[in-house]
Amino acid sequence: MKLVFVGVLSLSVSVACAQGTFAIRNNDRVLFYGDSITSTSKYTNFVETFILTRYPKLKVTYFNAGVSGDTVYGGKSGTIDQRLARDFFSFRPTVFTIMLGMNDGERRGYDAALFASYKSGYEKMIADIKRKTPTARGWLIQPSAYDDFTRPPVVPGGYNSVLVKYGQWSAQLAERSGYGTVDFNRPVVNLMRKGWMTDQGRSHDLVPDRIHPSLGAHATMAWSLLTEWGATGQISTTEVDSSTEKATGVNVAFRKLKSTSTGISWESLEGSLPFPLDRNEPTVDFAIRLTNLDRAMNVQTVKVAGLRPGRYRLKIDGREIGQWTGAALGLGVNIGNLSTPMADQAETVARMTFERNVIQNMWWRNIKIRYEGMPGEGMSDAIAGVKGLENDCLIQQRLAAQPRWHRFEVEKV
Amino acid sequence: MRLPVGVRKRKNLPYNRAVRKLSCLFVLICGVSVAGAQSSFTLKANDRVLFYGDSITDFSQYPNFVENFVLTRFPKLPVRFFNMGVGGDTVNGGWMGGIDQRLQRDIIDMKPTVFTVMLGMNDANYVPFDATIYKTYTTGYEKIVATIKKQLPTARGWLIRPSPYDDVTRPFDFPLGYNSVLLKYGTFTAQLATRNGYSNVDFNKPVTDLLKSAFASDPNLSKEIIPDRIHPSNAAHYVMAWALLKSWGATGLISSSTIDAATGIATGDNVQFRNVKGGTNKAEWESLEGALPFPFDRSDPSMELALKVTNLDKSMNLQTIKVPNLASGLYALKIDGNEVGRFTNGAFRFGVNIGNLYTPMMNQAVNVNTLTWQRSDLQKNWWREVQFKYAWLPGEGKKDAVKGHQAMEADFVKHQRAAAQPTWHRFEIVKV
Repeated sequence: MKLVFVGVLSLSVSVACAQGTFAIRNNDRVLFYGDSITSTSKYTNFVETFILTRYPKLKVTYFNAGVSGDTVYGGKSGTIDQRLARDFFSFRPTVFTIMLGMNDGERRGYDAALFASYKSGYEKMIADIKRKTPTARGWLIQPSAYDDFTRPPVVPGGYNSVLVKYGQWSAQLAERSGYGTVDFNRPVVNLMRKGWMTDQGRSHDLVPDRIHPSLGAHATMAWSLLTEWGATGQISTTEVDSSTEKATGVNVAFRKLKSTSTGISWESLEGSLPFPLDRNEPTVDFAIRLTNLDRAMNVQTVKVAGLRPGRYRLKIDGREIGQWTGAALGLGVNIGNLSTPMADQAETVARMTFERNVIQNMWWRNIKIRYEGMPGEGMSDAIAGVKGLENDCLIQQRLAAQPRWHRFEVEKV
Repeated sequence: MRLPVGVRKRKNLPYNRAVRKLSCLFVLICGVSVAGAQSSFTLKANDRVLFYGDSITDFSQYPNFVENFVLTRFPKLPVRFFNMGVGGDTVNGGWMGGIDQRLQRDIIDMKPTVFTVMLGMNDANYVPFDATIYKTYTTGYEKIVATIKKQLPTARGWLIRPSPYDDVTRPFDFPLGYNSVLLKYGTFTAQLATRNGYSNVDFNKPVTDLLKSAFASDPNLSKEIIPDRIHPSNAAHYVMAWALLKSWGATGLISSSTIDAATGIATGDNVQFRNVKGGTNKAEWESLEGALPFPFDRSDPSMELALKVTNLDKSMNLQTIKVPNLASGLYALKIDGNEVGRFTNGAFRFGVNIGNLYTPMMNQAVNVNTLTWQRSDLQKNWWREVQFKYAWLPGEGKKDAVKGHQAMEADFVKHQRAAAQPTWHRFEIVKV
């Protein structure tokens, strides 16, 4: 038996390379600020799970500071000054995103006074943030769309045209302030337009109450932010040659490569996991069909050269993943969206991300905010205790995201 | 108004002494009866009261109503409450653990001195009487009681006959109806309680009676008392809480004040006075009562109906103001400067019940109620959302999270008690 370590070199190189171009760095503290669309934690959990599974060596901490109903002046959980002090500065973010506007425009036709109030409030927020966290890298998000596209608009010209105006202005504010900007409006509009052309009935489900995006729409929003941050769909590329018994790859290391009478087998350790997109969720499934989001986010190529003509099955850890012709395998197949042990592992990470977010809301929303001002030392013990629990969960998230060696077998059917 | 007699003459109990230290002009019968009321009440200082059951307990209304009543009616009595109800549970446990785990973690480890158990709604499985299912219930329940008796030999227990399935406002699902099955189960729990030296409370009959009178009054709205026929709404939970409290010896007495307008002399029960002044067409005084009224959430229409057909509010809240010898006419009663109602001299002669009016005392009781629900949420949180839910998560964090929550819950117990302490109020009766 011959051990092949060709790919080890490329593994470390390409991992470093991928991370180098990505906006999020080791020990970053990422804060998501916004209204209900942020507080539902859908796009933020997607972003967190993606970074965990795509860059499993990066240590990043997340905080979701969304409060439903919020505007640039704050809302039910406090004025903007209270919100920023308690929910922004105390987290000491090194990276932040802000999405506000859906509530600021009051879901009416364009109103100059409201717009002026949005602008002055947002400018004050940004000035405050710049002063108190001068080194933090920020992204101002152009607010996700109001559904004027699968249903007739409720106000003349549509409320989304107001949001677009707000969004364009927030992009200028970002530029003036040295921050980045990401557009969540256009991708959701595109999704709704494509959805309406494809299946009008289902298209209403993309932003069901016209305001709050579905899980599928949140996935496209998350991907917009991630691509803005420099993420790519690349999980790994594996190239093995059964005739030469050689393996090369990107973001993957190999061992135990061996040609067999009916094919080839090897073990590999990839640098990333696929991102788990739950196709059982109808709006995620719909969004994938409308946009090929899965293929954009998950590119995990396996290319097997030197196979004789015929039909082959690919097994990973003994489980059949799929069947292809030798020719297809020669060109390379994408296993990034198939049911693999790596995809299962990524789903576990997603569940843990969900739990971590639940625990964060336990100490932040259900204790710190809910009981603000209550006397007694117990509250700080409770907050500290639950933060400890959150940290335990974070440790398990990272452990769960570490790729493992898997045994690949390509054999003639 | 009838007050419990024969329990009024006890002296030298802690509350009595505490009350006497307060400076006042007229300290009369008050204090004495407070001690009396407390001593005839089942719960004692430092009791740990645990409610065990299924979703009807888990939903927390009757346990929290009981807690809030005890806090506001006996504000000097330090008692802790724990709600260990789990939706879907039977005598064999459920999703939060089999009965052995449930008993150990959720009863024995909690060290209650008083416990209640209500089980049966899910046990009987929503089908006609079935001897095998019944046998499972009786065997399982016997085991629960035997374990508690062995592990907590001094705990005082109340086994509750399960609240009804609504066969009153809607037709039977099958001959005789599901509630007839629950009644059989209830009879068994009563026998089981007696055999084991525990007490028994019936939640079935008072709620069934409520359904019957509500149905007679408003057939449509009466359906809202148990909307899904299983889970009682607030209205029925108040009735259940009151059934349990009565079996514990609680009464409706908040206080009873008599101020003679002619002489300016005040006498009362569970209240003390100062600065009393009479007059031909006015009276004024300050009083410190020994209890607060119990607040009802009246926002739900079925609650209005329940109050109409049961007089529950009047039986739970008796706070009487009697002012004889006022000149004839209409008078306004003001408390702390705000008018709370208008009554004739005749009404004042016989006594008016202010126990269900919007008084400062009622406002105070509403604040206690808010704290009670918050405390109960905190307990649910450490027990279910941390201890149980994250049992799988390695690390010490979950222990700290539980302890932190418990410390915070302990703070809330203090806040509850502080918020429940009655304060002096200024009463004025003026002619309008």
